[in-house]
Amino acid sequence: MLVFSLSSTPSGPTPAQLEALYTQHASFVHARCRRILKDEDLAWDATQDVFARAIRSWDSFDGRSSRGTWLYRIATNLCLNRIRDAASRRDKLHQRRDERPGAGSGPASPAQVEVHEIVRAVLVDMPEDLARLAVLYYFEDLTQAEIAAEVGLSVPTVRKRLRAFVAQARKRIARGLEAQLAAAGDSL
Amino acid sequence: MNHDAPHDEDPMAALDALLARPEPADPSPHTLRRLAAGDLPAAEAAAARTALKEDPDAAERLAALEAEDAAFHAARPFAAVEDELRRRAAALPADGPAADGLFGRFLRPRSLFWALAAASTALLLTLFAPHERLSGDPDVPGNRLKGSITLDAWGELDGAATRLEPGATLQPGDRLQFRVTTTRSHLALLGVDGTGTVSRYQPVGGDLSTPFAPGQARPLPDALTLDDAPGPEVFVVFLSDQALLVEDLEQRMHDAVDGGDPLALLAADWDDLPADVGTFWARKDLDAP
Repeated sequence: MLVFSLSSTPSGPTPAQLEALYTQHASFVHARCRRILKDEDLAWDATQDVFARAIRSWDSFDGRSSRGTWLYRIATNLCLNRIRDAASRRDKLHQRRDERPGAGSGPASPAQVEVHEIVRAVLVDMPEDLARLAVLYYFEDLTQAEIAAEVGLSVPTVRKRLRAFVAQARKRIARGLEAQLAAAGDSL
Repeated sequence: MNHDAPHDEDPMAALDALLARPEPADPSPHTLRRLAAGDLPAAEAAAARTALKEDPDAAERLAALEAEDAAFHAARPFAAVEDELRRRAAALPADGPAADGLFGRFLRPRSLFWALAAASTALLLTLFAPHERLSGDPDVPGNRLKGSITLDAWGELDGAATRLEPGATLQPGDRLQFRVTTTRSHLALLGVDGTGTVSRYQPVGGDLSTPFAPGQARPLPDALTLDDAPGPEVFVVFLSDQALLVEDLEQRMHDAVDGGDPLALLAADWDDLPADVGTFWARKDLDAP
């Protein structure tokens, strides 16, 4: 029997749909959040918020990507927002130094940790389009083709924006170094 | 990642070395994660599993992912978290967007700056003095416009808003914002750099030019950030009443440049295109500190 709903109220996922989504993706969403936020507690909190947003927006999912890609996109944006919020509050996210890459990524080398620290530092004030790509590139180790597929850009455009990110990062770090040198000069 | 960076010498060279990440080997970490999650399309999953047979290291990484997945669900089973997820969902604002859009959430000083720039040209012209990076050279080719639009470009250079003339010299990392006056309702913005690479700036995703609210001195969505590709860069704005296929526009840009000088676009013929077209170009100073 066909049942037509007369209500236009979004229905959200059924318990079975939500369970399937959680079972399939929660650990990977959590791993992505942990790589970006570098904190277990913050990552778990963000993971729950990612699923909460997915529940609220369940009916607006347009099916142009997989549910997983959609969910990872929510996670990336949410974690970027958390980084910026944390920077504005100078809270524990910026004080932690534990870096767990997550299984399957291999151990984080000192160079990787250093890259993550640099990228995190410049993300705070980075244009949104560049920040999102940088997260996927440096934290998630996506290939440029994978990034292009996830964000809906061409590979040359992704390549170009990653180069723009590096150019921006150089500028910001150069400015920071200049400020440090000036401060050191003043203190002499 | 280059682990042998010369950190003790030039800090900028060390930074470049750190940020120069090579492409991961196939199957990539992302592919392995999607494979473990069952999120890969069947053909890609089959290809990845074939690759795994010849790559014991990747197979180990997949096994580690699967083990982590199992441990996660043992520690946080769905039954224990479902109520909390639904409680959080119910607590979200009524219009809370799924993607938690970065573009909507943050009104950062920079965004505010551009919003003000769009709102009050006169005020900005009063507040900010002309900048030395204006071209000012009468021999420099100018912007080109087709149709009834105006196009102007603003740069955020060294923290100051600067109206740019064609051929302005910019640096990698400089920000660029376009404004148009138009009656058209669809927008595409593409660029070609000195290497002949065509980049799509608008639409962000999708195959068709993006809806755009017509009006006076309307800022285009998102400022652009210049990269370090050598040579001049040419930006072309397409404004039309009907959505245009962006691939066609990209192809026309490719054809106009033909792998050569991007400034050839300034002479491109757009007459058969049902769109107004505005072109702006800038030089890049790669030697700037």
